[in-house]
Amino acid sequence: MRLRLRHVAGLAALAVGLAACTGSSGSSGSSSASGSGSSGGTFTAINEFGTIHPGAPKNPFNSSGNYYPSYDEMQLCWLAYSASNPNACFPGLAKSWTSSDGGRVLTVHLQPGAKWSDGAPVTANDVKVSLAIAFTQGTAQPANLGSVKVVNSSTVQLIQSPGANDNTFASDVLQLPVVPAKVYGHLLPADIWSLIATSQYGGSSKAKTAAAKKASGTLVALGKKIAAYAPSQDLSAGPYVLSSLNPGEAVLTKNKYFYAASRVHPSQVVLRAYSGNSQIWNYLISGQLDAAPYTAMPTNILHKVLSVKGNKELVSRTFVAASLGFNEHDYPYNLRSVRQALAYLINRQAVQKVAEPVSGSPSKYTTGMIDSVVHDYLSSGQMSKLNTYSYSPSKATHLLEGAGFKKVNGQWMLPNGKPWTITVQTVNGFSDWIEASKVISSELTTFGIPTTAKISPDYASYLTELANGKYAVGFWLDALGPNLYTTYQRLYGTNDGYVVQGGKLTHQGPNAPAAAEQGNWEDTPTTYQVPGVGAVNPGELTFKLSQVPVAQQRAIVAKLAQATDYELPVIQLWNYLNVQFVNTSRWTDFPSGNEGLLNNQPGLWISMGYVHKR
Amino acid sequence: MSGLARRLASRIVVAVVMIWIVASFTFFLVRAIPGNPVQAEYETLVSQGVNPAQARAETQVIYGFLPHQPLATQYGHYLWQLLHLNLGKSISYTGTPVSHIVLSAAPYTVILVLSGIVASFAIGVIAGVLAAVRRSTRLGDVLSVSGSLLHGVPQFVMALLLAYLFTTEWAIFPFGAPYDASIPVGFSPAFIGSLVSHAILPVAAYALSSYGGWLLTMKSSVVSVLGDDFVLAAELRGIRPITRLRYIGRNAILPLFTILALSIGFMFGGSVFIEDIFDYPGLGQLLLQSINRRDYPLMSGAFLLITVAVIVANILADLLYGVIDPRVRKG
Amino acid sequence: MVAVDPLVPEARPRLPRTGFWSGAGRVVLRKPSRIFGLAVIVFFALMAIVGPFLYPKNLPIDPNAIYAPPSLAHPLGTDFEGTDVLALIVTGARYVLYSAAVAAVVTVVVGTGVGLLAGYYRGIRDSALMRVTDLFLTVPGFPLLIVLSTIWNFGAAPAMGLVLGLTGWGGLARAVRSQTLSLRERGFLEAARGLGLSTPHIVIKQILPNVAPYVAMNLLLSVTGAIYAEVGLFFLGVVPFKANNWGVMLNLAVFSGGAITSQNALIYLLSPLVAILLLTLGIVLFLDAMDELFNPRLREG
Repeated sequence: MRLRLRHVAGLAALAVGLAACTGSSGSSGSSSASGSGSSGGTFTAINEFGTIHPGAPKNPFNSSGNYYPSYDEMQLCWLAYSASNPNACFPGLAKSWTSSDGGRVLTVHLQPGAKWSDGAPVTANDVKVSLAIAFTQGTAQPANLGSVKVVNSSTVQLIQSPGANDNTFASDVLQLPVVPAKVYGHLLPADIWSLIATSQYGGSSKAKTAAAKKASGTLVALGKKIAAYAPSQDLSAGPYVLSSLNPGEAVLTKNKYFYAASRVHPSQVVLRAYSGNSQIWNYLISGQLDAAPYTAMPTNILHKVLSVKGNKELVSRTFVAASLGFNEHDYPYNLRSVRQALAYLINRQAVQKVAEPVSGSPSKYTTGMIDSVVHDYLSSGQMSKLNTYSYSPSKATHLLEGAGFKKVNGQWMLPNGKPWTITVQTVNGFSDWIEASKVISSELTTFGIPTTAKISPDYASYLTELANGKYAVGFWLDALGPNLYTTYQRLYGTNDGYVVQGGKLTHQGPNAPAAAEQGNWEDTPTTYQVPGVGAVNPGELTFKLSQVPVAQQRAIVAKLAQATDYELPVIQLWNYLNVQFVNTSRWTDFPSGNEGLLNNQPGLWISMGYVHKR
Repeated sequence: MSGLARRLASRIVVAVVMIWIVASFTFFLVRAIPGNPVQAEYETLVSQGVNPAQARAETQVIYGFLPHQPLATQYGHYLWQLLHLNLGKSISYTGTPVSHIVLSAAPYTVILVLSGIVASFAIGVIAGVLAAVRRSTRLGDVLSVSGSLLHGVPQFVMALLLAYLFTTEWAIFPFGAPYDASIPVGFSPAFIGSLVSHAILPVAAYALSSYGGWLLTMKSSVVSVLGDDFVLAAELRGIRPITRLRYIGRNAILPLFTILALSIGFMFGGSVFIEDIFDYPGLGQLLLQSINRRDYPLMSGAFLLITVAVIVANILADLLYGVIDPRVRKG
Repeated sequence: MVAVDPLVPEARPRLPRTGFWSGAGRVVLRKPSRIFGLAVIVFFALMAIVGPFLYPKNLPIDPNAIYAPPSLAHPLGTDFEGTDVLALIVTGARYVLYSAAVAAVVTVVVGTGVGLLAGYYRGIRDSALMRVTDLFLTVPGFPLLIVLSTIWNFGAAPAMGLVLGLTGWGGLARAVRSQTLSLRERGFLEAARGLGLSTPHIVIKQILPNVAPYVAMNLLLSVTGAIYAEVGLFFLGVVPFKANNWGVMLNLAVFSGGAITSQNALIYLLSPLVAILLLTLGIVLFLDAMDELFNPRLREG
């Protein structure tokens, strides 16, 4: 239906790969053939934010603003979402960076030729102003940025906040958008950095805590003002600059001052808006798009798209899986054998075939990670110990009978003799979830557990009710990555009652007053006893993933994977695939096979020298 | 003419009361809607790969746009702002004034609805006269049958059929944008041509799904006028047929204007479908979008503007009726 | 009653019961199109009543036959999960017709009631009622329904019908009021009052029968209106999902089956479309008979 997991499409925009840069420097990434081929012509792609509203400001801090990452909105680097190195990054406005003081200080060297589209150079001060704005938007604090020091006009030092020890500091801060100081600088008060410093106080002095709270309030108020600010024109440091737009499309023309302008071939980019996937299908079938992002589609549409001259499919992985989650506060889902039995009863192949036929693959393991990351992190010996819960009603029967369930007249009864029925909750508009829930209901009903799919009217109320523990069984996106902390945070994070406050992990039961916005709806035990592994505290292990050096994550991940596979807080149904399309009849040399770039927007491909005129 | 002025004044008073009621209704309705936009935005960010703490922090800014005062205070504030034509600030467009957003979407809906009404009214009335005058011939039969059949086709069905036929099966017309963005906006033939070619299908969907109604009404109205004495008198006095037809048409069309006023609301309602199916960026699509994103201020703003448009159109139709029908003008 | 009749010569005499039904029969049988219309209505009504009993409560799915073409086993092909489309249409008819019927009844009861009272009392009560009617007429019904769908779950047919009825009675109220007023002009009410008849008696026994034909016509018209509106709401996807709802089928065919873009799901799109068109066509054709039945002038011509 309409929404069709637009967030997954967005994910395609953010997932990147390759080019490790953590402690050393990133080379200004060059591509296969640089510079050759003639320039000019229009490159047509999709605006990955979906709709375009001309009334919204040309401002990257506005959540519906008219700005286009990798085209006219730039960052210091573009995250390379590598599963093995969370800090891997493609250089953007930063040519290179080095870290020192155990990763606490990051010295960033800007691209020497970086200029705004009015010809003025991009300076260290632009970066400093942009990062100050990030504090008002609340995006700098969680990246653990403490302060920013301008070394010279093209070098800037980013310093972690005192006491923090964040293993993804580099990629977190380098991804923040960079905007021109001359456009946004006047919105900030002169004492902005002392305000920021005051707001970061984390000690025990009451007076200072009060001052910090007040300063934070001032920052948020500033943030609102900045988010709504409408600059009169687009000033871009990227390969393109916005020239005109209407609700259907945005037209961007080449920025001749772009630092790598010689590598940029299309002279104009048209980004089409879309409000539903069927619109992208139509564009693809009429052969109008040179590149289309991840778009869910049925098999018949896939065939039709591929039959169009020049259309090609590019598949890469994406770090999302769809799962069926349980609220273990609700009987009988607190019983491991029940969850395991259900895992045996759901035929994941059939579910994926109906729900996500083109851009999904049935999940082999329920480890909290997508299958390909399991291969990266677990040895074959460890993987062989994982239970794949292949479809087996007999195993399910065995498990249920072992737990005291009985089948009477074709209907399964709870141990207390009452009939067992299940309601699977999904969200209106998420057609793949709805379709999956229908298949699951059908399978379970056939087995003798009458199951119905129930649909919440929208995602917002679904999440609210889920957090309030209203649903016993519902859909959940997990395995988000590739940062493994983010991945396991989906299972053993706030939804499971684990909250990080002031650098410390606390746990709350489902009945505790809801923390911030999210409640504990999973309610898994704080300690798992996993055969062959021993006692596992998933919340603590997950928290550790955010702190230990990347090299030490492997052992923790192995434990979490085993525990998740055995305990099944969720049943992982399918992994999403990043299926993209390009058309080779007007442009050639797309980054096929380059997972990192494919998971990024075409603006980055173009600025790295890909995409030549045919 | 003072009669007309008094009439206008009383209509405006009624209209203001109506707007107040609708505004209050949406105000309270919107606050009864379950679901938290902050949470939805948070989930969206997290599933886009933003780390959870960062996503939470980012949504704090949105949270700042949610009202936190007691309901009565909010209501008072809302009405006061409304008097200043301030519809509040959008949540999904982080702080952009709602009035700014809805007003930039409104022209597209007005273009569609007005051209749709004019087209269907003109075609329907002419065909209705033909069907009535030639009611005993095959042409009359064909017209009447086409009228009843198309009258029965819902707007969204018509729109779907047109979209299938003319954007996919035969990709003749463009869709998805109101005009080609690479053409500079202005009174140039290229721009107007682009605007028209993008609007043809949605307007045709309107016109085809509602001309049947006009045809049938006009036909029966003409038939009843044909029986009036003045027609016979004119015929006896040897007035030319074409002139007689003008008399008949003028008398027969009057009742249609009252229906016109009613149909405007219907047309604005239909914009939700037509804009959704053709991806035309007007108020209807904005309303759907704001509901999906739970952007309450934007939703009530869009709904209020649609209502106001209908009320204004009704007043205009009423005045027009007064101008056309001398009996009303004097009364 | 007999004493009253001569006093209201212009009011149409009500036909005796038997005469009415035989007259109705004759009117319907006069044109084949009317017979067809009636047959279609009866067919769909039967489908709504019996349909859900013909199939299991949970329709079987088949992941290996997604969007299958028509065959003997699946005369109308299959949907996104391999369920028989014909079964979906048949079992889905109940919701559509039930809610449309509820909507029509609510429309007629409220619309007729308000119209009668306004026309009967005139004066301040009339103005007040008519202002309310105007409000309902002016507020664009469909956007209102979309907004309402955010707080009201339309999953149950009576709830859907109630909302459709409550938002759609304005036009009928206006029409009934003007009919009542015209009855007044004919001295009808004054005469009845002069005889000392009570208000309820006058309204129910004297006025209502005279506006009844008009109301009956509107009953059928509001059925079609309600069908469009509810199918439309489901089509837009603002109302929760039900696999066998005709509007949901349209939505899925277009937005997840790509029926507009490729032929595979075309029959899945056309099946509910044709069902809706057929049903409304039946109603429109049958209305013609109603028109003649209640407008004797047409019968002669």
